[in-house]
Amino acid sequence: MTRCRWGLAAAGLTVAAALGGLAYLGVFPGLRGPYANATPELAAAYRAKDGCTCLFVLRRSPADCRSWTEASPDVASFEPDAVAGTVRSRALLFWSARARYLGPREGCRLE
Amino acid sequence: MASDMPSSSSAVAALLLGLAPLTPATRAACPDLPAWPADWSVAPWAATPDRVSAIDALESYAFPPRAPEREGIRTDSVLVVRGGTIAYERYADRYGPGSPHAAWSCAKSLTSALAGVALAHGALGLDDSICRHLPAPGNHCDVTVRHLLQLASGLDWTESYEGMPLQGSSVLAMLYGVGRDDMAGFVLSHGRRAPPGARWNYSSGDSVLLAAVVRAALEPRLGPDWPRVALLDPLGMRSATLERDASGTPVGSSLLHATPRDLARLGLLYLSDGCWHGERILPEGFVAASTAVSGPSRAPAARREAGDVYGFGWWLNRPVPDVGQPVPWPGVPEDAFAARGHWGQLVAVIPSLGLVIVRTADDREERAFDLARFLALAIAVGRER
Repeated sequence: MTRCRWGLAAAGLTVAAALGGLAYLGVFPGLRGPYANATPELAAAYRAKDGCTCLFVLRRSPADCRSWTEASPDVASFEPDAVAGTVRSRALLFWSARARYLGPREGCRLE
Repeated sequence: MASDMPSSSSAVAALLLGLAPLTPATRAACPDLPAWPADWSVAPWAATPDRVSAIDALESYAFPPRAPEREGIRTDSVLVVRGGTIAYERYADRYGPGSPHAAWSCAKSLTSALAGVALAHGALGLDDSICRHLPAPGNHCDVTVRHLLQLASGLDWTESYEGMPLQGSSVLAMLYGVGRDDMAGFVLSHGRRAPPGARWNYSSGDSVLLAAVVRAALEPRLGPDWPRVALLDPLGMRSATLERDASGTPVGSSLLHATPRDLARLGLLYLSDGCWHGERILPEGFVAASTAVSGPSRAPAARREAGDVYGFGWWLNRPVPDVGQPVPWPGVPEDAFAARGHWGQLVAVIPSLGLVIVRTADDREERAFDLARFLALAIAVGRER
């Protein structure tokens, strides 16, 4: 019986911590601010878009662009594809974004 | 809302609104300045002791050894232009005259210039309601082109980049989040914080909305490549890229990329009162109006910081005694004005000295870089011959 209660409490705490973590990440619209984008979603979009611009518009090296788009905390990946003219970024398993180079007039845009 | 245009210039500007294209008669009003070169030449400057010591002082401030962890002053380039030639130019490792750089919010000054071109074509009026140009402006028909140039639409906008929570940043939502596909539509979805024209509030939303209005005015006349046809090509800014959202509106607040030499061309256009090679590109009076303290900038504002003095898309070095604002960049002539962008980008114009000063950078540490000190050092280099 006691063991069961401890188990329930632990499960409750785990769920509460997970919900708290998700709330902190801005997953629940309206809780952290008026705009409904979770922090990892913005982080991936930022790194994909600015990484694409850095590589294909500013013509910097992949190493420079990786560093230029590194945000704190560093949760979004930097995955350039020079042949396709794209940069993909993934953050915390659930979120990802990809930006594509459209040419010298328009630069890069998120897909 | 009182006009910011000087009254004598207003009449001329109003006359110009009906003229498209501009007539040769307007050329006479252009100042007699050196023709800017199609390709830059570097002036044969004498290495006088004063000049050498001015360059040493500038370089030890602007180009210190790079600190670890992205701290301190991180200059990527400095360019000083005087009399149509390059008086001084230096790049950090792996940068050069052919390297485009992100200019960030210097784009706001370019968007202001594009609005000036639309005024010159008679396609836009300073006091036009945005409803005259945009199909679905919501309840914001009292917002005018002038209000957008002044960053005083009154829309409830929060401009912040770093710092938590990110869900409170209007500009991040516009560039990377819910607003990114139709940025002008996203801006218009906001409510009001103040009546239009009452208060200055630094807003990338206002600049993107202005880009959408200018697009509506110029695209039917000049075609889909209108920013290039209207301004970038005439100025020879071949390296410039002005990125767009999915709806085709230029991100006129933030996403301009160009070489320092091409950014200098924007400054030179304003140094020449909006003329280029003797041809008037911006209407007479527009540069004066752009570099006069705007009405909203003279009023107290909740989010105003020390040194925030603004015209039409340009930062000014004018005091505003009404709000206790001294000259923002002490030691720099009061007629100086500048385009400024995130992480230390700068295109400064000092008409009284005939100087344009460009800096590109990657300053990640807030307040590490002292703009007034840098400008004074760069001016000293530009003045010495």
